[in-house]
Amino acid sequence: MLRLDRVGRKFANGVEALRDVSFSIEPGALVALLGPSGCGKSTLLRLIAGLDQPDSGRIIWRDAPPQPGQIGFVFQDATLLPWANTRDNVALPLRLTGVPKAEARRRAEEALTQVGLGSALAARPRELSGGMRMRVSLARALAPRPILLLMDEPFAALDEFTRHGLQNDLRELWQESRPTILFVTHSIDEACFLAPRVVLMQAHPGRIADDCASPAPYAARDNALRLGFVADLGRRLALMAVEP
Amino acid sequence: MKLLARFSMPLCLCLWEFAVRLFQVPSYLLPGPVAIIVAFFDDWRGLLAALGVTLSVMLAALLVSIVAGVGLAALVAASKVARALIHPWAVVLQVTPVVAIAPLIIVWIGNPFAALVMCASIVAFFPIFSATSSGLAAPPPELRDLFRLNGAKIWQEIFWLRLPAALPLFLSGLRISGGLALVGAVVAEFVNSTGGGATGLATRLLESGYRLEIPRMFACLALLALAGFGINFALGKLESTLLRRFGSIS
Repeated sequence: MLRLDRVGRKFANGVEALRDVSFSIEPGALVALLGPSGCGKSTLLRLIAGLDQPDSGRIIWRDAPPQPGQIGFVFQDATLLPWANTRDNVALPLRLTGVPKAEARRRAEEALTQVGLGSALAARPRELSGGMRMRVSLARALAPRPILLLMDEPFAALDEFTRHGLQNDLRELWQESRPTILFVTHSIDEACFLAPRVVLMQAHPGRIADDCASPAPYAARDNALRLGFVADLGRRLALMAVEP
Repeated sequence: MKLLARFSMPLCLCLWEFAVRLFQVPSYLLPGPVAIIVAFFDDWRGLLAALGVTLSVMLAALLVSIVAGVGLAALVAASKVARALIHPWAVVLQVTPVVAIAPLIIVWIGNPFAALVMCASIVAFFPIFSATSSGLAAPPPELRDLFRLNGAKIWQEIFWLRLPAALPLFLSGLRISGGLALVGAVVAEFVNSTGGGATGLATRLLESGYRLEIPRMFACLALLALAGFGINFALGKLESTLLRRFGSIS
């Protein structure tokens, strides 16, 4: 679906955020992009979303480059419109791309039902918990049926129970309908639990360190093979951190 | 503490009355509250009518300030060229002493009511413009990214994101402008009255001063203070109601 070919990005202040980043994403894949803070994960997502342009290299889409509304984005904070109710928040991207109001609302309701919030259509964001707000944000990204869903550490600010719940739900949702997802995280455990494929990044400058398959992609949280993989990735990330 | 807050004003008035009587201060120097109330009831129709004129100038000026302030702030948010063109003039207006240019405005415009509204608007415009401009720049970058990702047009971004997000700051600007519009209206009336135009409460104030009717002058000031309280209270209520209804971006 998408191939990055030696993509680089250097900011005006001289900081090289990304150097020679190359990898590809197949349709229907769930790929975790794992790395420490400051390794350029979010910059990479912005480049793929078209919110920023690379200084070198290319981002090649197999079909035509995505049109407005074809890329879903879930941010670290839910960033909902506080003055709009849940349904209108989810309908927003559809309305922006010109979908008529009634149709947008119907599809928003569908998306909210998909994330388990079908009964909270009229609630305002301040009436929802942090986890529910994140579900609304996920529904907002899913409602336009994007060809690619970019998620930028969406569960990082949530408490552990809520985070585990949302991780389970996202994995289930992906197994059921297979949207293409690129999931950025700095949590090794989260990356290994969610994604069959983990792309490891390292910092200064941001670059790909490894691209590995999870040994037990659909296993339970405490599966021994998976825990071994988590420990191995943890050791490698710790080594990378001390490398010059 | 709450009790003290509630009774501080009546207590001060009582102390004032007591001191005036105790030291036998002549009313042309400092009238007591009772003398002021008596002076008000001596001419309550005339004073309330004058207050009505002043309030109508103030309300019209506030309306003009809202339309101009929000409209220009939206223009400034939409275009960098508009920002470069408008911002310096807004600052010039902010620092222009209305007393100095009021006579000219009255001569230029001709119609006294419109001239007074213009003068009061000059005073009241800037807080609304400035607060709304800041509010329009307030939405978190993620929301702006979301709008960009979905190909939002500039009007969609202004009306669906920036204007609602600017509401809390606009309302606090409005509260400041409400008081300023009243001050601006009175100052403009002062200038107009000294030129012979008969208008609102400022005319009654000046007139009482000339005639050494100091209690009546204080009655005018008390009416202005009450109007100020009323405006502040009403705009405060509007602010809390709208924010409860629409929330704000946190």
